[in-house]
Amino acid sequence: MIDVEMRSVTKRFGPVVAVDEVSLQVRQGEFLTLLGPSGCGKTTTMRLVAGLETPTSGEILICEQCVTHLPPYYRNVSLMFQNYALFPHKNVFDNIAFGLKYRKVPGEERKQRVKESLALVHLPGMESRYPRQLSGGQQQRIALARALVVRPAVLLLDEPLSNLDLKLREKMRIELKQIQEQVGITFVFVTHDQQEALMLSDRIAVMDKGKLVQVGTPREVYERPQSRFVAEFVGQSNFLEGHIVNHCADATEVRLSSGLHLSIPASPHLTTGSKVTVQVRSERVRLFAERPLDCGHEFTAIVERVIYSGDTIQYLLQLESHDLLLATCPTTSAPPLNRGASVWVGFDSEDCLVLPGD
Amino acid sequence: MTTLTARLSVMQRLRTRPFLRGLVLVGPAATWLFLFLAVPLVLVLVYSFWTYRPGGIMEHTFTLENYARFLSQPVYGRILWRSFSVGLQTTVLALLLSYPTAYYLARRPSGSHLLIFLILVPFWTSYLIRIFSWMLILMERGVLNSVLLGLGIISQPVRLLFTPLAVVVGMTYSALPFMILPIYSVLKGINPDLIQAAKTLGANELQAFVEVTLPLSMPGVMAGSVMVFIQGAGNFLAPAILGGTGADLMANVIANRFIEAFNWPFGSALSMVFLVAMLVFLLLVNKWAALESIYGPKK
Repeated sequence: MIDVEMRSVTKRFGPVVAVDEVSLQVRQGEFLTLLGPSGCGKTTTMRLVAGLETPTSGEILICEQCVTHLPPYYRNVSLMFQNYALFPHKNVFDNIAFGLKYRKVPGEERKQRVKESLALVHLPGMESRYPRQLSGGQQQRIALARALVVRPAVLLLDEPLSNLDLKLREKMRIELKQIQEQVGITFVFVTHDQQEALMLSDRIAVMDKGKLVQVGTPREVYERPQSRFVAEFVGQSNFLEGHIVNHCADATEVRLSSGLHLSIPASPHLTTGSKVTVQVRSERVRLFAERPLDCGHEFTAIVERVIYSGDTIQYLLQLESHDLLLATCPTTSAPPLNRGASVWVGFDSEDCLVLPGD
Repeated sequence: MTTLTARLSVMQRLRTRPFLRGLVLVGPAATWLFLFLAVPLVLVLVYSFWTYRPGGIMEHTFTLENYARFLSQPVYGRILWRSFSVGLQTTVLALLLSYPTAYYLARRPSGSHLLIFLILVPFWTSYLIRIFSWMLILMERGVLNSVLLGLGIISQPVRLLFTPLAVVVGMTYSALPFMILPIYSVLKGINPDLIQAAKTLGANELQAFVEVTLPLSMPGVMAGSVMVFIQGAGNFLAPAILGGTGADLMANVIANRFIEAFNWPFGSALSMVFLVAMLVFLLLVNKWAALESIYGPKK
């Protein structure tokens, strides 16, 4: 069953096209993330589903019913706001019971459901507190409880973790995923944090300039980006520009603008001479003290810059051809190299991904 | 160079000595208020216990006679009541007119600086002139009657001027900015996400307004109401010019005792009664509204 369906939805604000012909289906019980940089239209997309904006054109369906022109209070959708939007003049009980009141849930059941939802977010007995008496993390849990207690078909979450400090955010990520699995409600999660998207989602929908540019599982989006934008936005990569010079049976040869030749997995759909960008993930670039024997490509390089970040260490390397390569290595893998050191660099042909040239 | 360091050191000395700093910052205004508010107030309190002798002479002997007179002559009680009543009528009318305006201004997506500026324009003319201009509107052959006659809505000019209604109308007009601005600024500060959150939880436009916007705007409503009520109940000019004889408020009666009857002790006693009545009323309103606890107890 499809819980949310958008059919070529467009939203314009004056001359600005915030959402451009977006078509998307969210399956029941799915955790779908809208991922993109700020201003890409992901929040507007979510607000369109909530009914806080009306599309300029296109249709929105929730649980297979057309809701395009229904106001938010007739849609079975909850929204968790980035700043939580708890009512400051109502205590926790009245905040959580708010939606139940307007769904005409009787008093006794209301109490019971508020209690259950507080247990769900691990804050039992908080009914009589006011929002200003709660910490940021607690406010966020109350906002989650308030959104879930009405048992919506879909819960929309607008960057809910971005106001928390790192440790709390990491903890809440895990908790959010657990709660979603527990209640089985469809989540549409908006974020600009690719790490968050990769960790939480069943599927990721990447947006850029109002358009949906790729929809897929985290693994698909990470390992098979369909455009330079997605490849650049998710993870850290090297992008080497060149053009196709030759096709063989099991490989394609690319000549980089620096003169370097790379052999990449066969891509017969690309004609000889066409411009391409070759993507190599920085963690796929390996360093060796001596010439490696098992790599598809190997080069000598000089360490230009060393960036230490705890679990990993990054080296910016200059090849003899003057190409720059970024390599991310686990800190434990080898003794650290210093700036200026000479080293062998290698990566496999399978680690080269061809993106259509810009 | 030396003067610069000397100046700096004075500033630094102030910074490290909070009492001295407070004195420098608050002292001038406090002195002013003490000389021209606290001192006269104490004098009025003292006068109210002195004895009046015909011919405007104040005898320095203690008496409760002035207060007894207020209690024994029901006309003063009625005027006190009328002051409160006219003040409340003005407040309610101004509130009803101001809230929608303030709401509109606060919600206007394209900003409202020009409109707010226009609201403040009447303040460029004196209060007296603005009240007099209401005379021209409300007179028997004034603007309003002429229009109503011309449209055939009435056949005889209606008596508008020199009625309590004229007082309320004139005071409401000058009260509007004092009501609109505080409500506007509080409404403007309400996080729009709160209203949207109420809607996504199932409340319609009206319910979201009643549940969220209205309670959160109460601090502005109270601030405006208190200002307008005090201005209204204590008003002197509007009743004097627009009200005629039957519409005197406490301020007019008090002025009359001082200026015409030369009865300073009784005038002082009326002032004290009015002052205490207003204070008690405002304290009760404040307690009832309990605005400091709308966000729950402090941490």
